[in-house]
Amino acid sequence: MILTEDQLQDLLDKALAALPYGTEWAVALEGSLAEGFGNPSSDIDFLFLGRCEDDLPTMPSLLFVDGRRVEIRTRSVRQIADQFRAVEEGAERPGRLSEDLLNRCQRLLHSHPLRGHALVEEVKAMLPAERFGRITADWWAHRARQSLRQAIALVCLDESDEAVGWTRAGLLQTVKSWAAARGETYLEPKWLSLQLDRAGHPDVRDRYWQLDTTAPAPGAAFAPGAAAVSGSVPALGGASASDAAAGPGSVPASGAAPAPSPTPVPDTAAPEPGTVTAPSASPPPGAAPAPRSVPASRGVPAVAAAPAPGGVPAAGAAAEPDAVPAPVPAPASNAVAPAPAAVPAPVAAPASSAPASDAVLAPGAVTDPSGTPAPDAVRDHLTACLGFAADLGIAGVPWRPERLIVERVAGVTTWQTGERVHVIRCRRDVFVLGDDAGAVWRSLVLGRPLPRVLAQAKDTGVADPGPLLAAFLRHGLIRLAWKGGGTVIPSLPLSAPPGPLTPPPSTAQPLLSVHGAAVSGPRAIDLMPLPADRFAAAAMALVWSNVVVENAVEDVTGALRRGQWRVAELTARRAVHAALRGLLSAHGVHPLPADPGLVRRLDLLPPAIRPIGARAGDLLGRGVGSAEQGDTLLAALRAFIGQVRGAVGADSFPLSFDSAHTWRATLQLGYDWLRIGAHLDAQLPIEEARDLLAGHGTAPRPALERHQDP
Amino acid sequence: MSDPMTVLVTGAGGFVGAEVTARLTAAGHTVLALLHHNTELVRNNGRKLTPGPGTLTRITGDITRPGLGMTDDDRRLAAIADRIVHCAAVTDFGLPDEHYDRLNVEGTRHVLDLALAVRTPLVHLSTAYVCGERDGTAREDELDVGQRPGSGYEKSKLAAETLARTAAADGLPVTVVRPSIVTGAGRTGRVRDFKTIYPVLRVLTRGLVRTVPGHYDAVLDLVPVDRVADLVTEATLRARVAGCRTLHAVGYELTLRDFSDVLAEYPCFQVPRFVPPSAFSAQALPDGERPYYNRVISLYDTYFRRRVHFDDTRAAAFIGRPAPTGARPYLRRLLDHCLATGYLGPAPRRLPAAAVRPDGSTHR
Ligand SMILES: NC(=O)c1ccc[n+]([C@@H]2O[C@H](COP(=O)([O-])OP(=O)(O)OC[C@H]3O[C@@H](n4cnc5c(N)ncnc54)[C@H](OP(=O)(O)O)[C@@H]3O)[C@@H](O)[C@H]2O)c1
Repeated sequence: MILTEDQLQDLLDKALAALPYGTEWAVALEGSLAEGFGNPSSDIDFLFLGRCEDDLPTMPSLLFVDGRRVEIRTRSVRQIADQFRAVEEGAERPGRLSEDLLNRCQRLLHSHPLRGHALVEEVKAMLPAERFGRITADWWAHRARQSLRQAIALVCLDESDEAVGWTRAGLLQTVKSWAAARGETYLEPKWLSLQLDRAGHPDVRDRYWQLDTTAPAPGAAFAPGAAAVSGSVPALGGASASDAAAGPGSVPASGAAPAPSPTPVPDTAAPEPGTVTAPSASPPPGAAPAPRSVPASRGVPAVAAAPAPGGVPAAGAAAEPDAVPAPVPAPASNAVAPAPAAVPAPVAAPASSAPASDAVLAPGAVTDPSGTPAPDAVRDHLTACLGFAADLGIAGVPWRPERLIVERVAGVTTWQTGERVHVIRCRRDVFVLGDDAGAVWRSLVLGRPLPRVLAQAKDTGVADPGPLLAAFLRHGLIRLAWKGGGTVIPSLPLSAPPGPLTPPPSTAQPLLSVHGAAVSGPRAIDLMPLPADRFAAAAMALVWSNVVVENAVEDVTGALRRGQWRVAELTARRAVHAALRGLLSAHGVHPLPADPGLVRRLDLLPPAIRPIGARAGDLLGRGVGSAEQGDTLLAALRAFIGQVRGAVGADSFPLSFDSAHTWRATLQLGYDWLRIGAHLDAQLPIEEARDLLAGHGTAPRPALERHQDP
Repeated sequence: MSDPMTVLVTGAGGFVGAEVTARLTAAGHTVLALLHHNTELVRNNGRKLTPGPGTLTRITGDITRPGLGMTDDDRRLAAIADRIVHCAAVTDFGLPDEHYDRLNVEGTRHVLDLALAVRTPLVHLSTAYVCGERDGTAREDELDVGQRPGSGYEKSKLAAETLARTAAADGLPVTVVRPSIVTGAGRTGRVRDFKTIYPVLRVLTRGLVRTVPGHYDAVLDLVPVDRVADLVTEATLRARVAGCRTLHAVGYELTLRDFSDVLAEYPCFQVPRFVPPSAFSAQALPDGERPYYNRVISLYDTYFRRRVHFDDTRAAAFIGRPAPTGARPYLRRLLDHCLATGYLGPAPRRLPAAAVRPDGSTHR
């Protein structure tokens, strides 16, 4: 320990002088210093233990003593006992065991007693260190499996950068599991280098650093939007994403395997004790791992040599405690040549021997535009890490992409209006898909292995469907399950809990047309800026306003023909109001303001739209007293509707009533929207629409009569 | 176990008949299986029926012929039957009325003649849809209330059930079991034949027809084939308890809205838009859709209109358990099974023409 016992006792005395604690407490130092790590700037964490019955506050007290930050936590023996019990109970389901709980227990078990030694030891004895080591090892192993499975999926989906990120996460979690089983249970990864030095197996340690430092560097694939969910990114013109990904420091995606370096990379990465240069936890998904200083190719031979094929798992190899039987059996037709669990040498398997159809199933064999499979540094690195994991006793992560099943996420539904595909998540978030994204989404048959799903996606003819599928995964529109291992939920320690990604909402204006929401490009997966029920309600109101405008204009014409000036006046107003309602609805305004407020509320819309308000105001104020005035009104009304149409686009406001066919098409879009509205229990525009939906009523009578097919 | 009985089962090779036969022989009874064209007995799980411990005797016959067209030997055998279960029928939709009359009405008359000859208690398979085109609750004790049958099939089943009732009035012990729409096994969704509702689902989910006349609150009642077979078997073995009564073999009530919402959970499925029947015109359908509408969907139009609930108080009391709950999960199980077998899902590049009947069903 870098502080002496006297220094510690002195710090404790000073802390006690500043705080109103009595002498009945047992005290232990916990945290990095107590465990033999730390440096002069490390915090001092004191744990006060008492036999009291009351629950003690969870929030620590914080003070500064001699320029050091000192944290004091208090716990009763009963609270500690509860913690240990919770850990024991949660041990069977490591996926659910909270990191914080584990951390609390770990810190106490490895604490250094300063006062009341007997009580501290009594408390520690409640959970034997060996048992705790096993629990922690399983906890890390579970996470390692999740990360590595995620990496396998991402390799298949051509998401190289994220695959590297999750591979490194899995690698770290693997070695943390191994170290924990050897008593190195300190949870945070920041002292890993010291933990590995202490764990006493230089071979394992060196191999770990080897694998960590040889992770392929991020390539060109990591650029905003390179996940190809944004329409602005051009397709890669047939070249695979990993081709594009081969940036500086990564192994070229095509061509010969890099020449093995004769000398293994020396272990330069292990930092000196006390210097905080140990590798941090793997980067968060999506973040580019820092470029490695070691050329990616250098470490490969050393890696390749390490995993013994069929390496016997370490004793106590964790079975998979959270394993849930996969709901869907892999169809026999899914002919995937499974790679052995411990892939002997990443560069040894010439992908060229694989049949062409395996290109999708063996993603390492990325096919370049000329059709020649090329080794892939990302996959090679992953398979080397999988081998390492297998050798360290982490079962359940062979390179078997066909064990990854693409599964349904409860509450995700698909709704098409016209050609536009909308996906609703949890009845709340609406995603609108561009044409390519929509085609890939529509190809999904859930419950099938990932390689098969990917092959189907490729059959759509959409280039690079992998990143689109990866985006669906990230957005929580589909999920992956490992056959026999439950849903794949990758997570990093000390980071936000895993969950679906929610992108910034779409800024398209206008947002809606009768055909569906606006999309930013063919590969877009745009999030609507309004909740699903209001989205559906606004769209229905838009369709409905189209119907009403058309009806009203016809009524004006009829009234003028008969000299019914007042009727014409009123119906013209009706048409104006309906057009304004359409305008507001197309911009996602819902519920709509009442008619008297419609003109004023155009101030909610982009400035370019506002002149329409003045024109509307003028029309609403006009009276009709003669045929001449009537004709002028009708012409002005038509011009006004033309202006609205011009402002929001004919898509939002189609001229849909000039034939029975277009009328029917509009009505069908109305039914499409009603279908979504029904699903969401959305507010329907008017009573007639409710009737339409329930099926008790009929279509708007006058319109239908006028447009009956011959 | 009740004393071993001998039971004559017509239509024993059919979807329901095979499951009833399996249950009866499994309970140690002897089944005289009246087979027609198809002489193989295949269970709903796709496996060949292995009878036992009771025995199975195959008889060839044709219910359109008096004496069911049996040989003299077989007729003697049938005469000693303790029970008759009448499953044979034509269940396809869209056939000429004469066909239904001959099979379902005349066929039933011949079965009744056989039963009346030695007063053999009969279990007659009817359909819950003898209720005709109507909304509201259809009760088990109602039969002819002046309803309008939804199809030639329903008309024939109503006529057949009326014959059976008349025979019952003459003293023949008759139990009528009325299934709704028989679908896959309750737990697995597995189904032997993709018929009735299945071709409809195929046409709709592939987007071959996108506009369908119907009401979102119309109800389709789907009953798992195992529940029907259980009820028929119980009614056969406990004919005396069942007495002369009618039992609704019904299952999960699904509105069109349920269908719409559940289909939407499958990215690869198209969800049809249901439009009010008054606003629907088959002529206005795109040319590509119209043939599918005419050949498949139109035959089921009537089901998309009816907001009918089948009261099954008697059946539930008789079998000792109410109709199951969890309609949407059941529909998912059915759909998942169809996807797993490839019956539903994206259309394969080329359909093997011979394997599919004009209406898309796959009878055995
Ligand atoms: N399936 C349903 O959804 C449903 C719903 C309500 C009521 N039901 C009723 O339940 C009963 C059983 O239906 P199911 O679905 O099991 O029908 P199915 O699968 O179509 O079976 C009908 C059986 O009848 C046999 N059959 C046909 N013509 C015959 C003839 N001339 N002589 C002797 N046998 C003949 C058929 O044999 P071949 O194939 O060899 O000709 C077949 O085995 C029927 O009465 C039906 O009306 C069915």
